[in-house]
Amino acid sequence: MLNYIIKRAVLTVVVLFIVSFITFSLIHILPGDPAAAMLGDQATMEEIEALRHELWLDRPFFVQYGHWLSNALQGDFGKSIMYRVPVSEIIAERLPVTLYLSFLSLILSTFIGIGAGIICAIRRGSLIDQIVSVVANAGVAVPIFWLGLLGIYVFGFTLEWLPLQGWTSPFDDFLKSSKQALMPVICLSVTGSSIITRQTRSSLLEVIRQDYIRTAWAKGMGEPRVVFKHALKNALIPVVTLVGLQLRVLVGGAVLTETVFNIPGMGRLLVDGALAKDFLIVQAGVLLIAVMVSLANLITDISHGWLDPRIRYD
Amino acid sequence: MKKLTIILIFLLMFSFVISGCGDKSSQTSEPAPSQTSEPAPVDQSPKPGGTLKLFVSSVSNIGFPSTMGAMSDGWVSSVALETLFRFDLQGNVVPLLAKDWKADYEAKTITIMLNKGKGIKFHDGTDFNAEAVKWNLDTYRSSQKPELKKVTSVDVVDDYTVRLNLSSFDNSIITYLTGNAGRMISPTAFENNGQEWVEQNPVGTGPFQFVSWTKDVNVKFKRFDEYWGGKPYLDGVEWVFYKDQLVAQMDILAGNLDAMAVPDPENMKEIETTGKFNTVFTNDTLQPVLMPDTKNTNSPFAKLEVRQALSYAIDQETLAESIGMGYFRPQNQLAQPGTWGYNPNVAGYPYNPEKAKELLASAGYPNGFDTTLTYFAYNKTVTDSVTALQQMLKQVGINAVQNPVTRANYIELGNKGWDGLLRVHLPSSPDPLVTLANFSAGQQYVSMYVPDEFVQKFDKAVNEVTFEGKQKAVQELMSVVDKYAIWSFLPEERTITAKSKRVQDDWYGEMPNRYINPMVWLSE
Amino acid sequence: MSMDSSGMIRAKSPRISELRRLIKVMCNRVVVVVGIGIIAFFILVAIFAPMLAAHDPLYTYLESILNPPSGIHPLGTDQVGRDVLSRLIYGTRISFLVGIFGVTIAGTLGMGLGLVAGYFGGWVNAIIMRCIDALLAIPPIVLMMAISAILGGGLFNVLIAIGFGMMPTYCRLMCAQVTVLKENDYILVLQTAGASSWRIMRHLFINAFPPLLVLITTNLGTAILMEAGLSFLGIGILPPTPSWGAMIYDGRRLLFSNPILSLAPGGAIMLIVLAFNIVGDGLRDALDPKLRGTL
Repeated sequence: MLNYIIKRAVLTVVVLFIVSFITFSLIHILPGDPAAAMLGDQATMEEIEALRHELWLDRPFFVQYGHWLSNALQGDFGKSIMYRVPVSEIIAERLPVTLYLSFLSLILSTFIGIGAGIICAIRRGSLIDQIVSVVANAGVAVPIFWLGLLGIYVFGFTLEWLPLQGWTSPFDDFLKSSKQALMPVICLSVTGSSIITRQTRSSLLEVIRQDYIRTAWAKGMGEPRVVFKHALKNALIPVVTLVGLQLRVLVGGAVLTETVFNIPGMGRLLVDGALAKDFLIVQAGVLLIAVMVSLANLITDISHGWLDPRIRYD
Repeated sequence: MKKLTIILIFLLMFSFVISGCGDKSSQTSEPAPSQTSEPAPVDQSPKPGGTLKLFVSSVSNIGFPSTMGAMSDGWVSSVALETLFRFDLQGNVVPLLAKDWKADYEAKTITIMLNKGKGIKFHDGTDFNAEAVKWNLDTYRSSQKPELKKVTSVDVVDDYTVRLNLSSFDNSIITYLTGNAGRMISPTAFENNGQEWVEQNPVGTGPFQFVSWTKDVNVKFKRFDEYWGGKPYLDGVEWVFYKDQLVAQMDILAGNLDAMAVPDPENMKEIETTGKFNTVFTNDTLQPVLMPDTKNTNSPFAKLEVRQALSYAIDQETLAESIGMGYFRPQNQLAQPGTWGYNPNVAGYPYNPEKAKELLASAGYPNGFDTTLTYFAYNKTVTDSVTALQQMLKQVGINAVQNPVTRANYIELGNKGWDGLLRVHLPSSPDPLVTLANFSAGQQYVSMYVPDEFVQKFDKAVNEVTFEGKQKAVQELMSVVDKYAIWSFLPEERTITAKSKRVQDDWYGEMPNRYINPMVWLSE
Repeated sequence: MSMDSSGMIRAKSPRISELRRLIKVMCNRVVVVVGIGIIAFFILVAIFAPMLAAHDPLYTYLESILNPPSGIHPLGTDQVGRDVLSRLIYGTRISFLVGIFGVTIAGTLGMGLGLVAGYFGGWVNAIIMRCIDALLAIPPIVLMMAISAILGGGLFNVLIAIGFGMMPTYCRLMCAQVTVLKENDYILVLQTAGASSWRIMRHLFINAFPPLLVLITTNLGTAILMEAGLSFLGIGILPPTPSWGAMIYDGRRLLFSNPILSLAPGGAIMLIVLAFNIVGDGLRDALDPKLRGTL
């Protein structure tokens, strides 16, 4: 077990290293001059050149990357080109917002997904199963930014039940924050709950068909007991993988959801950063997300062992 | 009944717009050099208290003029950091921290006299005097900013007089001193705390003193009781950040914001129809033009006929009415109607697709040609107007492919060169020489050829010592741009500034550089 | 199992009957048939767009901007006076292009890499799969944003971006399939018989492909969603091309006064993606050996 974790950790570091290199290269070949963008339309060439020098932009690619890497390893991610304050400061402001929303929607989608999945599996073929299946399919098919717009139009504009958009920290004004967060969280969890519903349904059905469950039926155990005691634990293994993978989906969703609802989170930061060619922001942001995704994968794999003792770590 | 009401509202709005324009042009018809005529105050007497909340999209540095970037940096800082001179409504330079100036063409000097005996102090208690001015000007000169490059040295003549020695005479320098180049900060604050601190903590002489800046939330200023112009009425001024204009608009409708410049024509109409606000045309506008790659001799635009055809093909009236919803205004020169540089004799290229086709044919392009139209969409109206423009050009045979780029890329193209047409949005200035300085120096927009006549006329204009001489030269310069069709004009993008009705005597938006009257007050 | 060319031909006939069975199983389910119907409908719309659309989707009627729905413009006009319905109809073409070519690029790249990684194993596998892991750790929308921004907008470049965004999944699945399949007896027989790598890889590919078919079907919809997302962020297909995502992006600021501008294209996206997903699901169930098409 410990060996396995160490091996995985080493692999993760390698992957993160590749991520940083890929991101750096991508941002590097983006057209546009970040120094010019920072100085504005009226800047002179001398000003721009001086700033390029200061930002190491006039050095060869590998020198730039090495410079960034050595600083990053010491915890220094540089100063944002757009905001002129340390990148770590901005991320410290933005990350909690996205994490808060993602966490809420992860919980919501897991609850809805597993719940709906169980119902569908038990009542396989019934009307409710068919309705939920179609809704789950639609949930994967809907563009979430469009769903957000629809929500804003219906619940914000027409019915005036919820604020149109915006963000307030739950520590400042919990009620307002919750009202503002409701639609974004729902939007973010739509895709997740649909995927989890479908996975739960199909893996539960598969387990139910197996012999030991049939035996349990035959022994005269009640239906809920069979489902919850025997079937569910085994059926949940692929579902856990999926929940782990949701983190990556959520970050992608955050980019669009935060744009629609005007929320100052990581997603918006990455979009704005990429457009302004603020490579320091993008670099640090992507790396951070990669760390979280890798950690989530690691935790997922470990939790497999808890659910299924047959899985070995070697 | 409902229809009638709508018609009435429209008539009212229309008459308002007309009277608004009328006022401006009547005020500006007389080019009185340095007399201010400010908007008339309301009958009510001013009362103290309250905080003025203003919209701003972003700032990066509000305290150190030498490294300020976006226009909004200057606007936000200006309540705390005053300039030596400022503009009045007609675009004339009038004193602010300085009292007067004297130019000497022969000796290549400009002497600036400061307000003596007013006891002007910075917010940190230090004196504002000739030494402080010299320090500020020298600091600005030693930065990479171009405005004061012609100043070779600054002499302190006495406590309240400084003299600028120039490498060659340039009357624009006084104009530059209305902007960041003339923005005065406390040298002591800089020496004690360093540049990074000063960038985040403006210490000047203005009516309001810096309190705090929360990133992406707001910048707060409070009243400076020892302000040399008298104690301001307001308790403070707060600039509130909005990434999304729509949200700001909702907030001003909800009464959480006092003033904002509304960028999109649709939204301007929405705001105006509510009738809840006082609206004025914002003084600073964007003047979009299409710059051709004339330096490339193989480019079709290298031929004068093609450039003229391009201008004739653009139906500015329709663009201003449809995309601009009547807020935009056709233009044929950089000087705006009603300002001193405006040349009424410039004919421009009124929409004439037939003539455009003829010109193209005579230039050797009877079947038109393909080109690229590169642009940066700073708001969504830009994409719309480019799409409409694309069709207009297509009708005369110019097939332009849209090439939207990011801001970073747009600036790089301007500095390093482009192919085809580049849509450039020039920020308006009451002094067109300021806008034009970048081309004549060959610094920016490098792919565009600038005729010698333009450079000569430009040099002549900046060398004039008298106001009348400068006015005449600038007007001539306007007709040179027209004659060579150096670039093609698109409608001027005018915006309105909406203000809640409690804001009084503020001048915000009407005055160039978004200058706010220190004596602004709130009626509620 | 004989490995000569006649053997290959003989192996085909069960494959054809397998296909028949597949179609039969899928057609037994009403939902799947409806899904196929929707896709067929959109294909017809795409093919006959010039006949169906009453207006040039690019023509700006500047004198009638933001008109409400009327006889001339059934869904009204947009903020530059273009006919919304005509744009919607032509948008179908763009969406199909995006779906088909996006998946082709992703599939070719991903499956190719996966096949190589799985077949050769060892350090080749390690290098390819670590890079794929790295790509998987970057949110796809960010990856696509960067690629799209580098190449500049435009249909072709957006296709490449989408292809890259979806590629890692194909690579992983293919690699996993091949790793298992290559231990199969008949592959080992091929190897000992001295067959070329190329030939073995072809066999591996043919056998690993069916499960990927499901992914391909659903990804046709995913690609359309991704294009919409990119266009919504303003970095997708260039204006004035009528892409559904770009239409939502353009209509967003007019949401309250003209909701139809952004809501109509969104509905179209949802419908077609839903159809692809349903058909993909049907396909998976039909292919699943455990279910044997009885679900």
